[in-house]
This record gives sequence, C-alpha cells and structure tokens, in this order.
Amino acid sequence: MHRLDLENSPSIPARSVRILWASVLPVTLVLAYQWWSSSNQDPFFPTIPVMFDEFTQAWIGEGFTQNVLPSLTNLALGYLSGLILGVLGGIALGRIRFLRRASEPVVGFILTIPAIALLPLFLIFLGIGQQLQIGIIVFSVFFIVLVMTTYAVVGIESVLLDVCNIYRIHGLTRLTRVLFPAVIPQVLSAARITLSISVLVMVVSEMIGASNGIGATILLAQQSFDYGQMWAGMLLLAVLGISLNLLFTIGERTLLISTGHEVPSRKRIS
Amino acid sequence: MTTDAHLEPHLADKPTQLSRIAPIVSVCELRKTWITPDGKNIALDGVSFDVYPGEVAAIVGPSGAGKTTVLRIVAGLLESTSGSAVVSGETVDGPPEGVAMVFQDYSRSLLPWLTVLGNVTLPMRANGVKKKEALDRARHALASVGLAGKEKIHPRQLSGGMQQRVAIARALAFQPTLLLMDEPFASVDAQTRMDLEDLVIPLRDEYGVTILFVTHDIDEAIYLSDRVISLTTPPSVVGEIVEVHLPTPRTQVATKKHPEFARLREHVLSLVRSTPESVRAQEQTLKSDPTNEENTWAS
Amino acid sequence: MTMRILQRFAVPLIGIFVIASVWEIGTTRGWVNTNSVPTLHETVARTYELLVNSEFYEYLGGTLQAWAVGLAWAVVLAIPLGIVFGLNYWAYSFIRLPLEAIRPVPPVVILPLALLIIGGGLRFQATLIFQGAFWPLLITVIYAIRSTDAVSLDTARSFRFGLLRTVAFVRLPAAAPLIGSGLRLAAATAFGVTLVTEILGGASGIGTQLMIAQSGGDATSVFAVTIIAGIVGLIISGAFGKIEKSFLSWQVAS
Repeated sequence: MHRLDLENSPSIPARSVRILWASVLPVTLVLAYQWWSSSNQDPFFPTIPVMFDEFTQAWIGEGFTQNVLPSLTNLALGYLSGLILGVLGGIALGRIRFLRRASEPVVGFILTIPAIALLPLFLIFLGIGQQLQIGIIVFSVFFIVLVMTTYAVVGIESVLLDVCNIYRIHGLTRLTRVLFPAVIPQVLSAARITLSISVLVMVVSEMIGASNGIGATILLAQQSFDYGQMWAGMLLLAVLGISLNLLFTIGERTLLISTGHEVPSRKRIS
Repeated sequence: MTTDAHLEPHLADKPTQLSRIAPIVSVCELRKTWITPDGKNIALDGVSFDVYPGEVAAIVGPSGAGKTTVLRIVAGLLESTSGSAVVSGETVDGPPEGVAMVFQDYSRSLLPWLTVLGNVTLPMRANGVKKKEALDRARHALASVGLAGKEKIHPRQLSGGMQQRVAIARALAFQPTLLLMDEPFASVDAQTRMDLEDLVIPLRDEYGVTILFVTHDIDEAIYLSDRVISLTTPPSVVGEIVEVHLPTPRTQVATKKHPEFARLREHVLSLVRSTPESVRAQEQTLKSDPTNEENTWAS
Repeated sequence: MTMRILQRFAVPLIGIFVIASVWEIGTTRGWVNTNSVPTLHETVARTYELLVNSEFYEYLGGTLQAWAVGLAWAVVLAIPLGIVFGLNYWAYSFIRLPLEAIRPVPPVVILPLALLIIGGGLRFQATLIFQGAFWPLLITVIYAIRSTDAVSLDTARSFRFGLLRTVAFVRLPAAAPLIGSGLRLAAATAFGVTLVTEILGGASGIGTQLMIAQSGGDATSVFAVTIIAGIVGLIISGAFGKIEKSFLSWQVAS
C-alpha cells in the first residue's frame, strides 16, 4: 500500500532510480517497435528512421508553409477568438441573471451536440475553405468557454462582491481587477479542454472540407496508400498535441502564479 | 435580570449625554424574514439601536441571532424586510458613503492577484483618489497596522493574522467615518486574536473612526467596546444595550482582571441567553414602573 | 412563490421563443439564404418525419451500437486498470510517461491507419471509440484513486483494514465522484468519436446521414439530423449525469 504522499515520505527511492524506472516502458516500446517493424517489413508499419525521413520530407520546408502553417493559423485564429468571445459572453451571462436563465436551454442544447456533428451544417453554411475551419473552431470553443466562464462568474466568492459593493468598486475597475482575475482558473481549464477539441475539429474539418492543411494531407496519403506520408501525418498530430499541451501548461502555470492563484498539483497527471 | 447595574450613580448620566449628539448609525425596528422551504424564518423581529460618533460598539448574541444580518443591513449589502437603518443621516439603500467593512474571512476578502499595496489602494483608486495620495494613505495605514515593508507581497504569502491586518489597513486607508467589522478576529488563533484586538483601539483614536462590530466572543466585546448591544435568541430583538465603563487604556491582563469586567461578563452572558419573550415581559414591567425611566435599553 | 416559478420556467421559454422567432422570421423574410439555413417550421417538420420513420432508427441504432460497444470496452478495461495503477506507485510511474504523451494526442490520429487495416466496419468504429474514451478515463481513475485523503487512509490503517477492505470502503467511495464525472466525459467523447468514424469512415449511422444530406445540398435534413444528434447527446449526458449523481450520493450536496 502506498500513501498519497509517498513522493514526500523518507522511504522514497532516489530521483535517478525513479527516472530510470519511468523511462523503461517508453524506451522498450520504441525499441520493440523498431525491431518488429524492421524484421516484418510490413508496408503498413515503416521503421522509425523511415518515419522520421517521411516526416522531414512531408512537413519541413515547403510542406510546412503549404500545409502546417495554414492549419496552425486557422487553429490560432479560431481558438483565440472563440476563447475571447466565450469569456466576454460568460462574464455577461454570469452577471445578468435574466440573460443567463433565458439562454440556458438553448446554450445547454448546443453544448451537447458534438462539435463534429456540426461540420456538415457548417459546410452548407460556410462552404469549403479557411472560413469553415475557423468558423467551426470558434463555434466549438465559444460555447464550452461561455458555459464554464458563466459558472465561474456565478461562483465568485460572494465576499469579493461584498468588498466591491462596500468600497464602491464598479464598472471597468470591477471587471478588470476583480471579476476577470477571479475566473482565471476556470477559464484556463476551459481553455485546456477546448484546445484539444480545436485540434480535433481542425483535423477532421480539413479531412472533409479543405484542399490543403494537415488533415487534408493525411487523408490524401491514406486514400492514395502512401503509408510513409500517412505515418508522417500521424506523427505530426502527436507532436502537435503534445507540444501544444506543453506550451499551454507552461503558460497556465505562469499566469496562475502571476495572478496569485494556486497551481493545482494534479496537473502532473490529469 | 440585573438591570440595576445601570442605575449605579457613576454610570447613570452617560446615555443622556449621548442622546444629545446625533447618532451616526440609527437602526429602527429592523425586521428580517427568510423564506425557506419549511416556511418563514424570522431572523430579526424589531431590532433598534443607535451608534454615536467616536464610540466602539459591539453586537453580541447567541448563534443564529442574526448579528451578521444586522451588520449587513447597516452596510447596505442586505435589504431588511421592514424597518430602517440610517447611516450619517441617510437611509440605507445600498452601501452608504464613508463606510468601510472588514470581513471575517480574510482569505476570501482580499484579492489574491493584487499585492498587499494593490489591495489597500484599489478602493481609493476606484473612488477617484489620486495615485500618489492613495499610495501615501496606503503606506501609512499599512505602517499603522504593523505591515511596513510588506507592501509588495501577495496576501497568500502572509499568515492569517497578517492578512486580516491588510484588510484592516484597506478599510482605514479608505478613511471611513464608520468602520463595520463582521467577526473580524474569529478566524485567527488565540494569540493573534489578542494582538489584533489591541490594534483596534489605538487605530480608532488615530483615524477618529466610529466602529460597529459583530462578535460571538463576549470577552472581546466588553474588552473593545464602549457599549455592547446584546441580541436575544431568534426571532431576535435587542435584549439590552450595556454600557462599558472600564478604565483606559485597556490591556489584556489588567482590564480582564478588573472586577467590573467580571461583572459585565456575567451580565452579558446572561443576556445572550435571554429570549425575546423574556425581554418583552421585562419591557412591560419597566414601562409600568415610573422609577425606571432612565433605562438605556429597548429604546 | 408564483414569481419564482415564473422566473424559473418563463424566462428560459422567453429565450427559446426569441431564438425561434429570429430563426423563423429571418428565413421566411429572406434575410438569410434558405439554401443554407432552412426555415424553422420546415426543420421541425423534417425532424418529426425522421423521428417517425423506422428507417431512420436503423441509422440511429447503428450509431448507438458502435458507441455502446466502444464505450463498454473502455469502461470495462479502464476502471480495473485505473484502480491497479492508482494503488501502486511503481506500476503508475512505469506507465506514466507514455500515458502523459498519449493524453493530448487527438483521437483521430490512428483513424487513417485503422481505416486501412480494419476497414470501415463496426470493429473499426469500436476501436476508435475505445481509444478515444479509454485514455482519458484511465487517467481520471488513476488520479481519483491516488487522491484519496491521507487522513482517511491513516484511519483505515489504524483500524487494520487490509488492502481489499481499504479499496472497497475507503478508496473507491472517495474516488467515486471523480470517476462518475470521468464516465460522463468519456460517454460524451465516445459519442463525438462515433460521429467522426461515420463522417470520415463511412460507417452507417446518423453521421453518414448528415454527410449524405450535406452532399445533396439538403439543408433541411442537415439541420434536422444535427438537432437529433443534439437530442441524443442530451439523453446521453442526462443518463450519465444520473449515474454521476448516484456516485455522489454519499456526499452532502454543497
């Protein structure tokens, strides 16, 4: 039986032992795959050096400007505008009870529609092109951030609002100095959830309705049985997901610390 | 009831003196009912008292007596069901001007994303005080509560007692005419509590502020106050307003050893256990007894 | 009291009414092109047509079957594995790095490969849905088990509880609320991935209906099927919300 605070207890093994132990599985997996793929010569499963070769060919240089950059631009534009709109809307809904109640059923319903199911609708509405990618990312980010920010604003410590009322802190000062900083932790968790959703939505929407971009390239490779290119795409998506998440974690930490919020330790696992 | 305490010769003249000055807080027949799933819950059933400029007044009462409710109505944070609260001559409908408040929960009432200095200056800046003046007033207030040199620290890095000092500095730098405190020292340890108590009286003198505070601690109420307003069990009314005439300056050891302190303590303790019915009965007998006209309570 | 009831029910109705009238008036007056946004009454009529049509239920059934199979595998494997890895520090730190690497990777990553290897049937769908729901759920269960309050564990130890008893009476009840919300999220994710497998992989279901309607330029059907997808999502989140609540039953509502 190990206690929760095992990491801090004196019986804990040395750091080096723990790092060694933690790297056993990843190293074994990589080596085993390399051995298996090189002995099998299965076209579905290229060896790791081949994968890296394909990766460089597909995504570095021209591939980057033609396919990766447009995808990332759409992602950034859609994600950030969805986030900003969602936070502003959430603060409005959180503060104005009538609006919150009136929008509750409609917003709640839209929220249960999986973002992917909205793709055909957006295709009809926006047609194929950049506006489709950006539009559907904005839409799927907006509603989640909207709802989570609304809850956060409603859940702001009533004492903080008392302080604002007593000391006559109103308007813009209240918004920028009290309301907005207070909801930062919840906005960040909404931002984290929606970040992975927007990557998913971006890829799928490119697979359906785009001529270039990461998703389009991957689907084209799969349809033309170009396994190397396909693997390069899968690798890119993995790298993209992991590095965006890493970037986000660093940004989140910095923002939480600079605004005096506690940094949740569970981020190590969840 | 030990009402005869107020008829002792050296105490008898104080209320008449006070009644010549206009009160800064005048609470009249305050009623508050909550609608709960089980029906109506009467918290306050006609609470009346005055607070005069320059004094420290404490509201005490048993748990659930609506002490905080009274304070929040005076602060304009809560609407009463009926009756009125008047602060500085104006009927309260929303937080009145010139009022500051210190809340029980210091860890929630301070803004963790602002520094200590930022917390203290924010109310002033939001009310149009020039930056330089706000900073001067904030630094002065922080020095007065013993937090000089901690201006750039974030509240979470301070101990509970220190955080409550920041909250007090924030209130004082605002330069209110009336300072309300809701169980201000209930969430700190016993030693810190005494330190904070001993901070209040000199600050009152320095800033010339009237203080009305709520506490469940009878010792604290007597130790700090000029008058103790005692509420009954709910539906609450004012049981009695007890004048405290203890020698000044008050100190934790000497004051609490004083025989008058012990007597007041026993008296307030018995008041806190009284019910609205017993108070009304008492009122009735006093009204029919012309010799008791000078009584200070249930005005 | 009547005022409260009015606020509780009338205000949300006002919201629905406003949206519905803007939609209907906007489309019938021609403010927006009805080729891309159908009128409200047409959409409602089409939704109703679909809901009374038995053929549509075959598609809906296909979607729900894939969803249920994939999710069931994820739940059946993730919960016991999560408990084991949550209990043992060494087991957990053994899989931790790969697990953290997988978590942020979008679940569609393996779609092209799976499509090639398995083809487009139920097995393909179930595989994708499984790996979309399994990893987040596993991580949640591990975290939930690991985050048992240290005081509760000390209490259990002072009563000389064995491993099984500690798990059954201390760790699992403490972890239940988190696991409950993890299940609700997994169910929603699985539903989303199900639609992805249909839209991209062509497996039969409401996702394919959406794509067929879209490619035929039938905006009314696209809106109607999207609304039905929303209703299914609502039912799923409602059902799993109930499960989550029952997992919370020991906690005092706060």
